[in-house]
Amino acid sequence: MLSPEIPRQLPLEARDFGMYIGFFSTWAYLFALGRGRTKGMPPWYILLTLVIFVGIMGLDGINAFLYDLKVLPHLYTPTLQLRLGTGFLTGIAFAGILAPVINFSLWRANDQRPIMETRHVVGALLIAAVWFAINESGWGIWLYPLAIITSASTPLLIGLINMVFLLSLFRKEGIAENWRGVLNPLAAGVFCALIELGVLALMRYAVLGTTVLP
Amino acid sequence: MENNAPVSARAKLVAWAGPVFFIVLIVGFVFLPFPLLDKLHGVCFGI
Repeated sequence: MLSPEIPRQLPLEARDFGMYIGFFSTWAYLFALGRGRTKGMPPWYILLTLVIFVGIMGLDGINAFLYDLKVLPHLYTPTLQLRLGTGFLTGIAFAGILAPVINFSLWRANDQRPIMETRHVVGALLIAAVWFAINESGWGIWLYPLAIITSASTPLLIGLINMVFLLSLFRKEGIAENWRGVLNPLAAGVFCALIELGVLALMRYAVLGTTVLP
Repeated sequence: MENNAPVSARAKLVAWAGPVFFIVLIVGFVFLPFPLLDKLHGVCFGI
């Protein structure tokens, strides 16, 4: 059971896997360092680095799109490793840019320290490298843990974004004093995320049936 | 300043909405009668 004889796909494709896991593992790392609730954006040079991270994934995506079209020239043959690696870079960037926005909406405490500095980016890259190695190992024992973590991260991340909108819409910013106070707004966000994911799933099913995406 | 105002029954109930939602969600997911991997793929099917 832990090591299936037939290779199985993970629920998320490589780029999404990198983005979602990169985001949550970086944020968890920042929490471990006592910076998870800070509301300050990173310094400009870190922000620029994070934007470049997203840009690298964008370039890899455009290259992959051109490769799929088979009509226009492309720079290189896309690989899953590149999709995963650039996804991780974007996940780290999301943590640096999105987490302060979430914290600003959510937490009552006003910790204005920047969420990330250079050493935190290096730490996040190292953690991403560990995830990358785990995935590349192909060991079946990781199948279920990775499948569960990636599947849980999808409604959670979308739920967090929904939560920011809901808190802003209902003027409830700074509602949470502790983790217990996070549960209600997060539940509202996740509830909306499940509806959104359901609609997207229905749309995909209407177009492709259960066919695996190309 | 400490707020000593009495908490209404409705406020007490609302405070439990989030935790109950997550418990129902997780328990419902666990007991859904499909193989685990299929359920996990189902969550991400629209992405």
